[in-house]
This record gives sequence, structure tokens and C-alpha cells, in this order.
Amino acid sequence: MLKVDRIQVQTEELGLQRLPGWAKSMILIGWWMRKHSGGSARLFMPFLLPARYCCSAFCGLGSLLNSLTKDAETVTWNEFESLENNTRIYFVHYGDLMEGTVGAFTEVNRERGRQVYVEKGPKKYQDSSLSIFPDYIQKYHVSLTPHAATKRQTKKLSKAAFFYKETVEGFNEACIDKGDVETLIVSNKAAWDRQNENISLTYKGKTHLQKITQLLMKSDNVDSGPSKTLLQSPKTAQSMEVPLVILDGPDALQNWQLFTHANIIILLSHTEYDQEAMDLISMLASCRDESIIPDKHTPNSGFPPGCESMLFAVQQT
Amino acid sequence: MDMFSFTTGVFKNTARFEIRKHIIRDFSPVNELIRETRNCFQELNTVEDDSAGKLKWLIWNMRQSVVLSISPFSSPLLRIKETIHEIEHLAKYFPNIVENTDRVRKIAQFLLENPENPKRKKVGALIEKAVENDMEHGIVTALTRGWTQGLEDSYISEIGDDDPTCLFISSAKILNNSLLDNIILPSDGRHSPLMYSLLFGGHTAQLDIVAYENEQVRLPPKRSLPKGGKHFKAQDATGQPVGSTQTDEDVRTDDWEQTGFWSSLRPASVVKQNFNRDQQYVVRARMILLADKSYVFLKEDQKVIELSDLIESRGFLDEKPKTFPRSATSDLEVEDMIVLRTSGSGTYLDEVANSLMQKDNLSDLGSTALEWKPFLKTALETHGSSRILELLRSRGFDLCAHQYLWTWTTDEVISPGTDSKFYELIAILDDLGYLPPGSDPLEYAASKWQLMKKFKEYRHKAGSQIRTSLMNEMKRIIENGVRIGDRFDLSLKGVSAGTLSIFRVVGVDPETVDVPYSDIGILRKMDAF
Repeated sequence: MLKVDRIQVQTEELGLQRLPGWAKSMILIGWWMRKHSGGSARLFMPFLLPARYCCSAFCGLGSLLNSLTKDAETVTWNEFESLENNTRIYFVHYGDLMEGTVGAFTEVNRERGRQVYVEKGPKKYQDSSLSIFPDYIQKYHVSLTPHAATKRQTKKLSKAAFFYKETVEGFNEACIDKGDVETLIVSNKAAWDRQNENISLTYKGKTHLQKITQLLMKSDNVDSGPSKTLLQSPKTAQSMEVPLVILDGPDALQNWQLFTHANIIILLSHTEYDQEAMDLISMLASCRDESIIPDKHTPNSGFPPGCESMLFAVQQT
Repeated sequence: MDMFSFTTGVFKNTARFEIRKHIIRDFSPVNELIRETRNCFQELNTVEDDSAGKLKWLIWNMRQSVVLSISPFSSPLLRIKETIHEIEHLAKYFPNIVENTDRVRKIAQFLLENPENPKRKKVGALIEKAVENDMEHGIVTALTRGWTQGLEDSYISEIGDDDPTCLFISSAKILNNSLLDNIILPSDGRHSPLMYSLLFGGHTAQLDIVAYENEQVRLPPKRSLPKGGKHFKAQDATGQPVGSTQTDEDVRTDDWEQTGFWSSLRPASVVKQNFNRDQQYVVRARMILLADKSYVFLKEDQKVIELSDLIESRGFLDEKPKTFPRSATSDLEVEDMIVLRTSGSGTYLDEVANSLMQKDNLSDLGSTALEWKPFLKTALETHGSSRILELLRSRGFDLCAHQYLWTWTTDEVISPGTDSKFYELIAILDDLGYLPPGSDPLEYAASKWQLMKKFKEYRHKAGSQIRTSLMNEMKRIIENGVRIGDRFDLSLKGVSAGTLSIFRVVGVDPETVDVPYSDIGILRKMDAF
């Protein structure tokens, strides 16, 4: 569950204050659209707004917060036990990201564990081995795919984890380390950075502020670090598989064809909603299937004034 | 203001948005003028020639000056006396409207003798109230899609000195950066390019519309998302369409304002309808009106230096950008500041490159390296670009379109992309008999290719010299707080070439037209102004 009312915002102009209604709505929309991704219905949600500055960042935050409640797909003890010798695994040890291969079973104080031979990690662990026991396996975040964050980033992210913990019920910390991109925002990169660089967020009772870009774990390309939110320019946008895509503005809307499985939020200001945008959205909406819209808890209340939105679903291909 | 606070302000304004109409009733001269000018348009709509176009423009301009201005009607800024004189002179050639224009003259005469402008009084009272209530306020001066003589100046002269806090909203750019408590729109708004943003952009909490009874205020309905699916809409004051009370005559006049305004401005000498695209280099271009009453055609895909953001931001002083911001012609807006050359011939870049070559005693380099271009041009004009492309294809090279061959005759593209393509082109010119007598095509192509490489190096040097000098000049302008008005001539130190000037854009043709390539970038004075 999302505790959006706990979130506070600070900007130079406004100081520290409760999140205004429009920003809350955007977070809720992002949360809801991410929550309903990956099913048999593909959802589209076009939005007409008086202004769309900063809106994609808050939608992205909602999406990210929802993704942190998912199963992080780390390896359980039973799975770990059944791995064949020399299987490559990725794990976190005291904040360090490490890579190794599984080896023989050991027993210490009558407790059965399994050795891991370290192959990559800090120098002090080079060519060493360690044992993992059932009670501690969760701490190691063992995975068969690489983690995204480096140690320094992991430390930064652990600060962000406090924010996530306070605002999301059912927050699963292991999700932070996973390198999957949750949301792709297609927007003018320079303008997006300018609009969002000075927004800092915190939660009620705390004054430790974090930049929204940091909380989004935003990056400009998938190779540059832990990136849950990827920002692409409309001119160079590339097709990729992500649960949620936010098309921010009319130029971004032209890229809708690149994303064939994702749920899509379209953000346009009223003045940007011209004949071309109207035709495109009408064309998309004409493929809708009314019977597959998730009917429970649609985001139907608290929309900010001056906004219009619609939700339609098409069958996943 | 940071963008988060701005957006919060926009949503707040939208929540409390209110429109107040202030209709000026019983001012018969304006009602009469609207009716008579409408009749003139009805008659002139059937005539299609340059004089009729100019006459329509003059009638329209005078009507707009009277209806939209807040200056006393005798103000020289409105040029009513001069305009009516020009109308009478031209109307002699259209006997059907002589009576109408005579009535227009009488109304104009009455207004000149009784100059008190009722709109001025109403607008003045609203501004006074806004100041009293400490409301951040502005007035829309972008009241027409084209440009109306003296209109903006009349607002600045009437309000500017008394109320320095009033924002003059003369372009979409200014409106888009504004967040106010109160905006005054001194017209029915239907000709204003900002109307939709004023109603649905959240830029103001209160919109005061001041209009004459015959202007017939009507508000455009909000464009909605398509039907179907699940719809979500918040309650707000801006979504209600207001019924129109327009007459058919109004619609016809409006149509002219949308389309005829620009077509009446486009000079027939430049824009011809029947080009032979095979034997003439024709490009899609847009007409740009400049504040110094001149105009220029710019190629649709061309990018020009646009400095308005740079001048406003001042961030330039801390960190010089590596390149100047450029804007595509199709993205130009009113109030943009564009850089164009104002003296000399050819492109500015070439002129600077020539002076650099002269310094190195290579003054003939350009003409020798590009000697083949006039040959190609003659060949294209004689045989047509599709025939030349056929010949090139037969030699194993292709292009996306035959018209592209014309770009090789210009300075935009110095040479074909590869030397082998260039060799084949020269061989074709030789086959057709265009090379100088006794030339060996292979040797000719090889020597020109080498010279062109050297010539490109000089162009590159010239580009960076212009950039550095222009950067320094801009820094000087910004540091000294120089006000850039309608036009500003730049003097680039250390660059030997003609002059460059910064121009303020006052109108951008909504349509593109076919224009001969030779007319692109040429500044011309607007006769009708």
C-alpha cells in the first residue's frame, strides 16, 4: 500500500510542505499503472493537463514505489541448495557486490551451509571462499543475474531505502539492488533535468531530504548504474521491454510504436493536444477492448482541476 | 521560479479560474465600422489579384487598429488618417466598394475628431483595480495572428509609464512563462493566437475580457479525449464551451484572417504557382515577418541561430555554450530573436572563408574548386534534374530524389558524398559538353576533389572564427545590458565580412510555400507596412 500523504516536498520557492494534490495524483497514477502491468491487458492512460512540467517524474516515482513491493526474485535456501556445483551467482556482502561460484556443502556447529568461491569483488576477498547458511541467505541477496548497484551507490540507495520504507507498506529492500528498469520516461532530457533537479522529497517527521532524481534511481542509459527509471530523448528513443512507459509530450508520443508490451501513460498539455495527437490517441483507443480493463480500484478520485484523462486496454499481443 | 512551484501555481489558478466579460455597448462608430468593412470583404472576396489583396490587408488593418487599440483614435501610432488615404486610393479600382469605403472614411473621420477610446477607459479601470488589490497582472497584446500596425506600441505607450508592473503578453513564449492573478484580454480573443492557452493553460486565476458588443465574444470549447474507455475529469471552471453567436459574414472574415492575411502578404514575384521542378531549384519555405517591417523566406528544414533564451537567461556569462542555440524554421515563434545577414552577398560563412583564403594568398581557391557548380546548374536547367539522375543511375549511383541534385549547385553541400560519385558526375558533365574544352574528366575531378577538401578546411576555420566572435559580441551585449529592440546590428571583431543583425520575429506564416532557392534568406521590405 502507498502512503502518499506521508510524502513532503521542498523546493527553493515553496520551502518544505505537504505534497500538492496534482503531484499526489501523478504518483497514484504511476503506482496504479505499474501495479497492473504485465497482465493480459495492456493499459493506456492519456492525460490532458494545464501544464505537464514535473508530472512525468512523479508518475515515475509512483511506478518505482510500486515495483519495490514486488518479489525481488532472490534465490531461496531450497533453490540455493539445489544449484549445481560451479553455478555462477551474484550476491551482496557487507554492501559489496560480489560474484562467485557455488561449491561444496559444509557444516559448522551442526548447521549445514554451502561454500561460495569468490571470483569478483573487493581485493581482500579475492581467491577466498565464504559459507552461506539458511538463516542468512536473505541478507546476501543471492541472485542468478547481476545486481545493478556498486558499493557506493548501494550506500546512497540505503538512504533512499528509508524513504521507500516510510512511504510503501510491504517494501521489499531486495528489490532496490535488482538492476531491472521499471519505468522508461521519454522526454526532452535537458528540459526534464532542468525541471526536476531542484525537487527534494522527504517523509513526515524527517527532515533528511533527497532529490527526486535520486529516489527515482534515474539514469540516461542502462549501463550507467542502478537504474530503475530510464530517461530517453524522443529523437533517440529505443525499443525496450519495461513494465511502464511514460510518453511526456507530443514528440514523445510519436514513439508509441517502439513499445509493444508496456503499459503507457501519455502526458500532454491542453495546448499540445492538437489534431495530430487527437488522431493518434483516437486510433489507439479504437483498438480497445472494454471487457479487459481492470475494474477494481481504478484511479477515479482526486484528479486535480483542469485535468482530463481516460483509461483503455488492448489485448497483449 | 522553479518549475515545481510554477506547476503548483498553474494547478491553483486552474482550480479558481474565472472569466469576467466587460462588454462595451452602444458605441456605434465601431459597430458601423465592423459592418462596413465586412461588406467590403464580401465584395472583394471574389477578386483575386495583388491590388485586391493589398486593399483587404489595409481595410483589415484599419479595422483592427480601431477595434483592438486602447490609444485615442487620433494617435499617430494607429495611422488611421494615412491608412484611409491609401484605402481610398486603391478602392478607385473597385467600383463595387467605393460607397462602402466612403462610409468607412466618414467613420474614420468621426473617430479622428472624437478620439476618446472607450476601451481605454475600461482597461484603465481594470488595471487600476488589479494594482489596488496587489494582483500580479498582465495585458494581452498578441490580439491578431498576423501583425497590426502600431497595436503593441499603443498599449506600451498607454500603460507602460503609469504601471511598470503590468506584463505585456505579446507572444506565446511570454505567456507560457507567466503565472499571474489577473490577465486582461482587450478583445473578443478569437483572432488571438493565445486564446486557447489563456483559457486552459492555468496562467491566470482571472481573465477579464474587454470587447465591443459587435466583437461577439465566443470562447473555444476545450478539446476532449476520444469517447470510449473510462473517463476521468475533475470539476473546473474552464471546461464549459460557450455558445457562438457568430454570423456567416464573421466566419468569412475570420477565414480570411486565418489564411488570406498571409497569402495577401506573400509577394507574387517570389511565390509562383507553376514551377518546373525539373529545371529549377525550388524549396519549401516559410515567410517570416520581422519587427523592422521587413520579411524573409527561410527554408522549412533550415536552422537559424535563435538567441531569445540566451539573452534572457544570462547564464551565458558564467559558462559560454559551445554552440549557439538554433531553431528550425517551423519552430520559430513570435518574439524569437534570429540572426540574419544584412549586407554582402552569398552566405556569411563563405564570405569569412574567402577573406581567410585571401590572407593566405589563395583568393582563387573557392572559385577554382567550385568551378564545376555553374556547369552542373546549366546542365540541370537544360536537361532537367531527372535526366541527369538517370545518367548517374546508369553509372551505378542513386539519390533519394532527382531534386537533390540541385543542392550540389549551392554552397549548402560543397560536393557529393564520395569521390567516386563526384568522378561520375564530372564524367556526365563532360559527356554533355559542359567541361572546359580539352579537359580530361578524370584529372579534372581529381584536382577539384583535392581543392574542395582544402576549401572545406577554410570554411571550417571560418565557422569557428564566426562562433568565437559572435560569442564575445553576445557577452558584451549582455554584460552591458544593451536593449535589443526590433533589430540590432552586430559588429564582429576580427571577422572580415558583411554585417549580421539580430531581428525580432513578429509573425510566422502558418503555411509553407514553394520559393525559388535564390530567394531564401533575402531580406525585403514589406510594401503594405
